[in-house]
Amino acid sequence: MQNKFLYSKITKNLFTISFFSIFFFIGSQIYTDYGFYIDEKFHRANGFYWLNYISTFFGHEKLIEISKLKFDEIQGFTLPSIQEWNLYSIIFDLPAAYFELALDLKTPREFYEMRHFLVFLIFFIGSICFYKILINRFKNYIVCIFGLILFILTPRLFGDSFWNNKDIIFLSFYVFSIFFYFKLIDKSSFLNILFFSMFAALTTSIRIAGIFLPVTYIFFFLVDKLSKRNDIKVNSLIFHLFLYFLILFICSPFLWSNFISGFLSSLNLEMTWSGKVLFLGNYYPSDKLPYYYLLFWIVVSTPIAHLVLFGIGFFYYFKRLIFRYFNVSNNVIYNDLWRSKSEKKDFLIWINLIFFVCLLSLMNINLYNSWRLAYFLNIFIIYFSTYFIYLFFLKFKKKVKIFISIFLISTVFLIYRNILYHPYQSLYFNFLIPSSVKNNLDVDYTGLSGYHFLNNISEMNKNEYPINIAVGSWYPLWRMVELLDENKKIKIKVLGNDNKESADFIYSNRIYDVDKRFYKKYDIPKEFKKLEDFKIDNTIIYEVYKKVK
Amino acid sequence: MKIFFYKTIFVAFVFFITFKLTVGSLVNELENKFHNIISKENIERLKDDLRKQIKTANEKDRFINKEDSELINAFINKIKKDLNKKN
Repeated sequence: MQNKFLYSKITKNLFTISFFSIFFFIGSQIYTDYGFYIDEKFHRANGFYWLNYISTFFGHEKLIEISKLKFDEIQGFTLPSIQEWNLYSIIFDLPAAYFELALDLKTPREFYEMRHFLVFLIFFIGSICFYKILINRFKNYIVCIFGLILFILTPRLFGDSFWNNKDIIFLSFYVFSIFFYFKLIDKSSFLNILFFSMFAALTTSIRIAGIFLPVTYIFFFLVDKLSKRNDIKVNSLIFHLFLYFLILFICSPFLWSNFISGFLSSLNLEMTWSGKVLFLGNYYPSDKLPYYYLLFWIVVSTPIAHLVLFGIGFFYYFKRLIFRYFNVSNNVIYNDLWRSKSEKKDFLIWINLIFFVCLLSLMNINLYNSWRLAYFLNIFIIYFSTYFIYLFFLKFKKKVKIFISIFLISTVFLIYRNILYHPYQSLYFNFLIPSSVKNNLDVDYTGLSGYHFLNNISEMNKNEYPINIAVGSWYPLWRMVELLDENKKIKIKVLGNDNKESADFIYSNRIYDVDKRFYKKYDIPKEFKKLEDFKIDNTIIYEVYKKVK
Repeated sequence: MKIFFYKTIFVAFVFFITFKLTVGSLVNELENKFHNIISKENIERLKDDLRKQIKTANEKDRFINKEDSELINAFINKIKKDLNKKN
């Protein structure tokens, strides 16, 4: 009996290790396929700016010199000034800048590919932690593997995990925080408080939304006191808050000179976009979008399998919560919103989801670029999807095999859809969405297609020199030129939007900072005819126009 | 005390959602309408409309009908006369 148990445990561990090894292997083979996005240059500069600042602070002469040299090298006439926009997190940019020096990388493509690999690596570790979260809560190996598959194969996140150094890093750190939060719920030890505080602080330093983690801890403390329970002690809370603010202060150099004003200004960071957002054919200011903007984007760009599982899982949990709410009693400790530690974890995830959906949808917060600012909500979406799978396994034991078969078929379909979109999984729409909807939304908002376009155009026009390309959208295509091979780089000449008449080709990723229907600045001159609509799954990623001679 | 705490949070939450979905959404709609009226896009649209009207007018043989032109002419002459008066 004991041998059988041991054998089963070894098999499970081997399978999990193989699963992660395959995921890592695939990731390490395809991370160079993805394009480069418009903010990468800025974030590289941000890394060297803070590396220089910190090496100056510690008086490391050699590092001061090299980081200054590297920082000065990063030029671009539309690149925002780091001195003005210096409130971005250093959690990713600083180590990336350091690795660039340590690995002695020379070419721009090497710099950015290393950064992409680093993003993937963090997401990969995040996936392991997410699996551990599921194991911690559901304790059923197959259920958790299914949850993990849903998490990894969410196309927009899968695609972004190879380049997005903001939203994916934030999501991963949120996963780390939740992982230690669950451990803290299990056991309120010194180490668990330390790790939870540390990751909550690191998460907050990436995005201010991370502040909700200590807020929920305070909330649980208050509820504990009202319920006359003693799960969270006053000392633990004080210790947590002290560590949280201390680590937040250490990892945010912009707080070093003035904590309060730095902290307050970081509240508004990244939540501003002065341009217009194309949403269902209309152009909106980013703070005046309809309330359903976020939910709409989640629905159209999340696979149907995820939505169905999440919908049922969320409904079941909510039903249970309502039941618990109406049975809360002042006298009986266990008549509360949660009865066990597992239910407390469910409640934590539920309150995170509800809070952020309400905050982002109803408070007129600047939203743009689909729901990428809220990609971390996928943690909670997958959690409730897994919750339903867990309930199904528990309640319908006889039908588990049918469920597994359906799940595996839908996984194969999901893999097919991921391959179909490759390397543009970041621009994924589920198969029910008609092209009339897809093409009335901002699609390639980070300009991932620019690099691929430049490569294609230079290969299609091998004998032409120079190839003059103008940009017919809000996109700094010239930032992509340095990433091309030398023989292509010398051929390509990128002109601005105001110089379209002199170009041979016009490229547009269909992103505009103004309402294109009334502003003429992005209109294509009459002497140009459309050469190509680059489409995936009937979604237009970019358009190319050619001058008719 | 626990029940009071939960109920307060629950009522506040329901109130907030109801407020946002009713009054809040109405205010948002009005704000959007006002913003649209004064937006650069609307000014561009008005300019476009004006251009189109002028173009249409230029293409017509007679843009102002005879009675109107006599009336406007008399009115302009009257203004000119008044402006030229010294006292």
